[in-house]
Amino acid sequence: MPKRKHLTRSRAGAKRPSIDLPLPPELLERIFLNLEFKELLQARRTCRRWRDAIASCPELRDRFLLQFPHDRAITKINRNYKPLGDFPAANVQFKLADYSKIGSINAWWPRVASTVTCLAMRGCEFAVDVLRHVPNLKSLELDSARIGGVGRVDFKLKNLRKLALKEARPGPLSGMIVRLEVLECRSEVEDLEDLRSIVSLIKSAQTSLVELILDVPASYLQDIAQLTELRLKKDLTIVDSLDEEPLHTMLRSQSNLKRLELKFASPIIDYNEDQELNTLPAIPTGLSTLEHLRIECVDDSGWPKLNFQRGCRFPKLKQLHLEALVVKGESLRRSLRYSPNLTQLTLDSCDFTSWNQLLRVITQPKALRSLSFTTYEVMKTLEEEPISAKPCKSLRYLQLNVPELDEVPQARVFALFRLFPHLTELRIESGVDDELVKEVCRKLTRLERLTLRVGSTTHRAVLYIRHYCRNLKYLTLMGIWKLEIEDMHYFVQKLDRFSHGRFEFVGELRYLILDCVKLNESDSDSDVDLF
Amino acid sequence: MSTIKLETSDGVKFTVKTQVAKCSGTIRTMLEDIGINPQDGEAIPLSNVHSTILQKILVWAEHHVDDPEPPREDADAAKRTDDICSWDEDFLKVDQRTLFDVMLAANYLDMKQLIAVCCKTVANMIKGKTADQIRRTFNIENDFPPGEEDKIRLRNQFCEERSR
Repeated sequence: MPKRKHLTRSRAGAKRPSIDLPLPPELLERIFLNLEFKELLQARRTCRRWRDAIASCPELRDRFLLQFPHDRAITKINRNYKPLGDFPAANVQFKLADYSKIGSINAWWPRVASTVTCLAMRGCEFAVDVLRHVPNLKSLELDSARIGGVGRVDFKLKNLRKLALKEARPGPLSGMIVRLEVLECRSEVEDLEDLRSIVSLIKSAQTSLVELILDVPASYLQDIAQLTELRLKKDLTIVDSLDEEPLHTMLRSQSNLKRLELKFASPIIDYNEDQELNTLPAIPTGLSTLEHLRIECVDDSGWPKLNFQRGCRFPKLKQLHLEALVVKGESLRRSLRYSPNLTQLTLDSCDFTSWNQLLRVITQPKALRSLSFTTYEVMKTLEEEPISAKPCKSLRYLQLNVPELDEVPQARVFALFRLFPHLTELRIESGVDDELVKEVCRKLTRLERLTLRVGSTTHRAVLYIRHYCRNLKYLTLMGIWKLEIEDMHYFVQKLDRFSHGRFEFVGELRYLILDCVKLNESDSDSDVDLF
Repeated sequence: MSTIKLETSDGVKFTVKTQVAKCSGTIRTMLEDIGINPQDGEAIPLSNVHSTILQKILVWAEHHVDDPEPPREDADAAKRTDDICSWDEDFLKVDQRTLFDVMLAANYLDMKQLIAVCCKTVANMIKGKTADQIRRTFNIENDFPPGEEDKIRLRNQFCEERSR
């Protein structure tokens, strides 16, 4: 027995009969791919074979993000900095402040860098040599960072496909890229040198570039738009450009674009002052290859007006997302008339000139499956005109978010359910009342998933759901609902998933308020300390 | 209905419906690409599979023979492990040795659906456990040199999940 003293804790484990997991690495990988991140960390600590299996699988490595310095108290990375052991991370971030200069890291960086595919450099200055050791680099982000002390650069970033420059200049990068596909440029301050380097970078990448994200001063756009050779095959995102001319030049040169995102700041501050001035550049014709279109006003000072040029058509459009805009219903409807494939329409915080116009827009697309809209004034304005829209039977998902829903004439909300009789999923994020719940449950007989936020509902609302919704599988009750204990049992047993915020029992357990989230999912092991 | 013969590592011969045997990518390749002719009466040798395991696997294949092709998995889609059908769940309620033997055989026979469901089952046995509990569950020896596990634990604390 004295020998036993020399055994470490880990060796003692070997005394138990071991069946020695015979699984080859590819099966271990398949198992680990099913784990959550925290579980993966535990698996890494289990034994060498498991640790190595995780380290050698690119898909698993890709889930780890390693940050240098590892401790916030450390503010400099220099010769004396020692990282905390090795880690098989594919994603690495250097995060410092005030362009702090990264000193010599050659002692450990090459070993870490060999498996890195995504690298972000923030708030620092670094030598170009840092990139030399990252042969597999696919994505590079410079955020308030610069490449310092450039001498001769004799290597290329062959695998680099994505480059993001945020308040950062490309420096020698334009000469190092081989096949860049995605470029993101964000800068706030106008700077001629900055513009030149971005234009020259786009020029050297223009044959391979498929996606361009620009959040730059308008004068930059003017110059970039003149690069007529730029033919993006996929995506273009432009942030904050109100000058019609460069925007149109830019868009007209794009004949293959599949996705377009435009984010505008509101042109004038007080949107009540002059409606005519508060208008965005019209969306031009010629964007016939678009499949996804998103137009959004990104500052909250007012809703600018959105127009489409006459003859503007989107024959391939699948998804349309408009946000924080005043939409001219007729102009939008005209453009969407020739979009037979539109399946998803989101009108987030958009206002229309009239309720009927809104209805005509949302019932026009014949293949629409999913519709979500948040609206303010238009639902409350009174109109004499009767509703003249036809039902749309393709719609399956409707999400409705109207603040102060109780101020909207109820007939108007009910009309919506008549227009979309085949809904299987409904989400109402404004407070509902008993009558509305009753109408929903009686008219929408195919409902499988239902989410409702409590308003002035009583226990009757719950009874309506139980009585009418025969096909229900998922139910989410948001806010504090009144439930009988028997309702609880009914929902838990009958539904695939029943989740709710807080609820209040009526009946025997009158004042008990429980604060549970999901009843059908077990939370058994959540207390285990995973580190 | 056409049948073929399979011979396991311990020399046991099984006569199996061709359609069922074709659940195995390995056997399908042998029949279709290499052109082994099942009419010859020759048994296909499965030198890596024991008869007790093959028997079990054939039960699974028989039950799933009419399953439709699964949709191609989206690499970025969140992995679910709570969607194992109850028949499979019962089928895999076996001791660990058998479970791993079934996995190895399924791997050798290239049966993607069976591998997937086995991996999910094992993943569920790992979920929510600490490293120590995992070792106890699978009888794994902690073979790290002294101090090494502490290093990993420390490193784990400074490692984040990549945001998507």
